[in-house]
Amino acid sequence: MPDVVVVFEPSGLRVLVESGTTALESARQVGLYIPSDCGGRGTCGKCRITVHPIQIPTTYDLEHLTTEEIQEGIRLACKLQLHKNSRILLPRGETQIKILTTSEAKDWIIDSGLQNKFGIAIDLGTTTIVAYLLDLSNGIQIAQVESLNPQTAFGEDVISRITFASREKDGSKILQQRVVNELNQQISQLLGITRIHIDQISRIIIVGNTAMHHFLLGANTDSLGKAPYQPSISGPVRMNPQHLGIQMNAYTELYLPPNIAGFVGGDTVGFILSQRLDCVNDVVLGIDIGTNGEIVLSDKGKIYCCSAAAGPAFEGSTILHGMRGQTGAIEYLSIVDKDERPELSIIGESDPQGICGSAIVDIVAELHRIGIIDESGRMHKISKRVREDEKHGRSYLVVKKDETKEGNQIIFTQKDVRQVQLAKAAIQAGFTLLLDSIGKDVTEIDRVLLAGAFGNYIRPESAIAIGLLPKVEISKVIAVGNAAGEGAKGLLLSKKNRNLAEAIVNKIQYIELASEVRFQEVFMQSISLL
Amino acid sequence: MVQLAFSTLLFNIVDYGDRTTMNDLITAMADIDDEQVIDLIEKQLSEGREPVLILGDLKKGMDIVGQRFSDNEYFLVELVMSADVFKRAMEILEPKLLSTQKEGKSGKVVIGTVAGDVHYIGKNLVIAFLVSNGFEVFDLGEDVSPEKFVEKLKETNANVLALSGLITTTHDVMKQTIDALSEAGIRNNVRVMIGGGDIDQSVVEYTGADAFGKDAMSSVDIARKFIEELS
Repeated sequence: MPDVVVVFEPSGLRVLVESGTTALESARQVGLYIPSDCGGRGTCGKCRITVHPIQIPTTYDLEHLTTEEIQEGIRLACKLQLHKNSRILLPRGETQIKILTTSEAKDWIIDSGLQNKFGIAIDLGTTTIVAYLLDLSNGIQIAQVESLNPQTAFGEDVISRITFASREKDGSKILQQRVVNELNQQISQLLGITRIHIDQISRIIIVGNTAMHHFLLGANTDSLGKAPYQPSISGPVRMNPQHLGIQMNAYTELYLPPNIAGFVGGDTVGFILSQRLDCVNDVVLGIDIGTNGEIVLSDKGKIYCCSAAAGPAFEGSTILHGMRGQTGAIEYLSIVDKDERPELSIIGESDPQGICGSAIVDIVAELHRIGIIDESGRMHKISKRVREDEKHGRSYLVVKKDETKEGNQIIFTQKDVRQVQLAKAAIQAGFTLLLDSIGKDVTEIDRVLLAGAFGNYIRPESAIAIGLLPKVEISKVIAVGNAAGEGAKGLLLSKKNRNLAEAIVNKIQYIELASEVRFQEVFMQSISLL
Repeated sequence: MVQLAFSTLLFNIVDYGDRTTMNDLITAMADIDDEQVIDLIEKQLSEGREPVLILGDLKKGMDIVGQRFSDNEYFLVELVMSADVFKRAMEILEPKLLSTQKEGKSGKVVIGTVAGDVHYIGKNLVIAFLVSNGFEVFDLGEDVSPEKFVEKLKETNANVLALSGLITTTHDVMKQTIDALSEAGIRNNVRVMIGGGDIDQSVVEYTGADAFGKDAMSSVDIARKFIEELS
């Protein structure tokens, strides 16, 4: 049971966590960004925060902080375990690369006359659903709940669910019911945590990709699965939530922002809105890497976008020992000596069970850096850790049996390398063609914004090394956390933001990669690990 | 690395059924050295070598490319490049071949990406390998309706149909296409193979096809088997 309240300053965001959760993890849960180069291993000393009440310093604190700092209550967030209610002050100034909710939430225009009214913003993802409860009078987030999308039972990815909806009797009805039930649960959880009455909820916003949007509304998804991949509902939707079976008062307004295309939906609208990509005065590339990656390019406010079918490799699905980012997953990896055990960072500091997306990117980058895999992606036997596995062919030994307590062997196969090449090529071809379409070069990109969980956890240097991100200076890459959720909050707080979102969508230029003449050529070039 | 490539090459030759001796052209094709392939073809033609022998070497080179792909040495990029080099080589060679030596000896295949799908990379690879193995291939392109497939099969009298589709939603379209063959009364004369993403034996059963290809090279053996069964 999560029972420790953590309040983050200066945003005032609060979150309930289980006793023992680290400050870094708690911040991640509310979408706040604390710089942490080492990925939470206590080695880089960058994730400094101030905690109240002051806690006993860890050995990591003693190593990285001055006596003075320790007395002031500064600690390393990654090693600071929270056992009682705490206030955490995040750093200001240059080290604070991006604190999403603080900087952005303050900027949101807020409708007036909503005293004592509350609203719920929901990011309806293919895999996870996150619901936020906000005070509409001041824009402050009071609570957040997260759960798995129960539709996963009918397919991990969007396409298999579309297939289910079209093939099975009442398929789309089943998908709709499942997700509505889950939303109802989340809503009652939020009300329970906050003791806010259902009568006080006046607005609900739901953002999701086009397929999630259609499943929720019970709309026909056949056209999403076939070229030219058109949504059956594009415009914004305003309705009584009861009509979908959402347990709310009839006067509560449900709003879903418009979809951009069959594979670019309201979540991307949320991303664009939260970063105000429509009014930047530089060249910004926004990428949300998922099974279906969305790529947005803003050329001084003129927005172009496309979707790239990366497949589930970065979620660990098509990788032999791949897994989601949960306890036991190898999260980061560095190779110091090609013949020796690589340095690993494991979530939850347990015995390694598998490899999650961020480490999958690391492995390919590292193997390529030390020459075990060449530019074409071929793995060579120039290391003692590369061998022919009886079942899986040529493989790199990430973890040998005798290197763990439980005796798990974890390998990364030649085939895994190929899967990563295909996935990254899809994204790379996407941003390359977008840049091409406006005659810009990679060197002209001023910022690369990474949205979503994966973008938050990958090491930008590894992603750049394998070509998953454009070859820009590392300082230009900024993780913006759950930008879709943040956009949903903006839509919740102000009708002006809704109008703005609708106006933005009308002006976006969508590019369908599958019908681009140069797609094959660019995709093929992108497979290599140059 | 050089040594490694060389040993793989040796392995391939030894493993190769008729124990072909390598020559420059086979090696260049297998290594996908495009300039070398074109130069050698032009040189050999000018020296009066039989075009059909040159074609034979190219095919052997392509077989080695396929083998290297199966061995994980080559990947998609190399396959696409090899298909491209082979196509360019055929453009030079084709006009010089006697009509009896031209492709088509192995059989006729109608191929296309099914309606509602516009992906073509995999399909084009299958075409390259079928052509390099002597099949006459009629490519209908992408987003092809069931009627068009039926029409082309009737027109060409081909008895092998290859359907491509990348995402799972196309499996239903493959089924519809195969149903259309039955309705047109030509299902019994035509063997159907399917390929693309996420395809296995269960999809073969679902769609009513006869076989699936796990990669571009396997389409060659399947097509041969089909032709054999029908003759």
